[in-house]
Amino acid sequence: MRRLRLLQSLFFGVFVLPLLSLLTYLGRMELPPFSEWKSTLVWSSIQSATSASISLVIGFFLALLLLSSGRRWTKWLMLALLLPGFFPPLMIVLTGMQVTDWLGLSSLGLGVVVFCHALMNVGLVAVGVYQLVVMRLKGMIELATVESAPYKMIVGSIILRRLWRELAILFFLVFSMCFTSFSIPLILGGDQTMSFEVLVYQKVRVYNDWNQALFYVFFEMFFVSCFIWLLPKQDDESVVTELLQFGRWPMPMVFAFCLAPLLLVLFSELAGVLPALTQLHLLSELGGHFWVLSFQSLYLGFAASFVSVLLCWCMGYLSPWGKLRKVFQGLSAPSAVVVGFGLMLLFGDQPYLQLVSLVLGLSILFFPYLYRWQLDPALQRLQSQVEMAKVMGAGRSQIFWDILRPQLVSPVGFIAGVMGFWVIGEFALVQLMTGKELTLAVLAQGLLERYRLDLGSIVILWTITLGFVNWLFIGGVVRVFSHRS
Amino acid sequence: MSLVTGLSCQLGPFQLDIPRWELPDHGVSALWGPSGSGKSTVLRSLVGLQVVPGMKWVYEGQDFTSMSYREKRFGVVFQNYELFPHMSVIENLRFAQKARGLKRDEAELARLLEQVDLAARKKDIVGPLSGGEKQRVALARALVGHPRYVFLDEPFSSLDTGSRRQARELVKSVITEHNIPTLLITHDKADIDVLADHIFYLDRGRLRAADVEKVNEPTDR
Repeated sequence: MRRLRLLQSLFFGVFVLPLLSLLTYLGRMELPPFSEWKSTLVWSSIQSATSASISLVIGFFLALLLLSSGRRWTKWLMLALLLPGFFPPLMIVLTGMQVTDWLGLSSLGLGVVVFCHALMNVGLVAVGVYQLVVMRLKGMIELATVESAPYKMIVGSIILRRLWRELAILFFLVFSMCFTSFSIPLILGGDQTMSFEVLVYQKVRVYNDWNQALFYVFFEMFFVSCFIWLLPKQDDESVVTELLQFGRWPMPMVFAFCLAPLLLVLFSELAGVLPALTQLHLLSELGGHFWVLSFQSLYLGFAASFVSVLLCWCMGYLSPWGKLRKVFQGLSAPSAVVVGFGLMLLFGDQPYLQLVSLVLGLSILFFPYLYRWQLDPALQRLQSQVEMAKVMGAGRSQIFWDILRPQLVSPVGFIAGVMGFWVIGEFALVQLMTGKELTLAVLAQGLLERYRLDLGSIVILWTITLGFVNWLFIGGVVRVFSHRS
Repeated sequence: MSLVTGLSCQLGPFQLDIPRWELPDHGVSALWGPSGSGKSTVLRSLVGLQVVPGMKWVYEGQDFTSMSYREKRFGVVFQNYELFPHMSVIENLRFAQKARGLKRDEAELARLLEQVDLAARKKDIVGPLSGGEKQRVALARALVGHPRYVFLDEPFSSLDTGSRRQARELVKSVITEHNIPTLLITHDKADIDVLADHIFYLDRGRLRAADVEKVNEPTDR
């Protein structure tokens, strides 16, 4: 038991390593000028509040459309709504730049940052509201419908009145995601610093002022923590499997609005790629460097996928149903800057340690999300089987090898695939931690910043292709090894 | 007779309070009671899945609560059977043998499968089996290695009426043949009529004298 606790603490320790590293440097923290952090706080708050408000209003409307979509289509439409949030942020940045280009507006500044955040989050809000309505209000709505209550009355008196608290929580969740956003304000923020993450990046990479950067890291952590503590506690509810059909919006309208965010992202990518396909010679501008970056991106993606498989198996072995689960659920949103800066302070700028710290950083950043999304539900489903095995007298190893491992192959393969996909498309943390053009995503970021949308689109498309190739490969590897052992 | 003491705990608004319980060490004892009376909590506490501070269960001079699962050697059939769906019938039984620290004994497993009439399906994956077949696999698995005590948690509740009758007869014959003390948790009086040698009635977390008249009311069997 003591050995298990020690192993669990060590495992958890990996994820709080950046934070611990930051804490050891607390004494070196230096107070920056008040005007600088006041300005960033104001801009971050305006940016986050506007993004969250727009996401909530449009997301709520999309949820109402989803509710009337007909049982056949609901799951597909939910998937389409969630996809823009799943794509690498580079694709969202490209969409923001393309749309502002078409509208003849400036592609930098508050408007485009808010647009990109809303594009990423409306689907999340829509699916969240849909699930809340089905979970909490299905019976009430069906009864009200049978009693021929008008649509507006059901929406106003039942949905809005009963779910205002949950809608407020959704607003604050989106607010905190936008407040700690890094990638999008980094490229599109323009003259104003739209988030503390970007300010820390500038302090480290542009001004080389690590002491002031420390202040901003702790300030952001304090601000976000206060925010999270203020949120009311939510019950641990299971995923909704039921469906509800309510309302009669015209189906073409339902499809048009629910697919709009996804189509906008895909169309923006194609609009950049198609003209550029006739000018593939543009790639020669990049020379052999392009292939080196492709190899490095794949290498990084594969390494992170491999680490995620190890983390999943460790989690399975270390009995993830008690305190470890609770702790892990609280680790859901580590900040990219906290992770990156903490590891930089720990490992320094040594080139030979950069790859190790980068893979570790990316794993720490993405694994908690993937754990909550895929691994935790899969482990919960197996809990009763594990209890049965324990009662029979099975030990930890037998439970892991004979029950958990064979039944976790699919979610673990999926986690490894998504991890690689996200890592290959990630540029902000790579930039922060290395300051170099180490991967294709960083190359694409540079191209977008120079308004080379044509070449940028090709590089993004190639980056995503590599992400999928890595996904297929790692999924196959996990499957083959699991069947052999 | 075995003796359970200190089986008392508070779970939210529900209180389980069994200070002393003489639980027979032979035959089938039925713990009967309505839904929400605490039967599952009693089962989880006796099995050891729920720790009740201060509880003791002395059986043949040994306290089960201070033993590891392997030392206890319990056989359990849960309401949903909790079979391992990715394994075959025989692999489920082999798992139990290994878990209990026993040597691989294919003859014993074959005998058990014969008894529950599943010898022909031993290589089938359990996931797609019918409810009745799953129940029989769970029973055979619980009996692997001659357990010291068997727990049956509403073992027939997932079956249809016709299958239930057959399943009760089968369980009765197998349990009688193996002669293992058994605790049957049920809210169905028909289970008690067919299987029980001793009846305990649980009402809102407290053991009361069994209401034999109520138990003997005619039910659909």
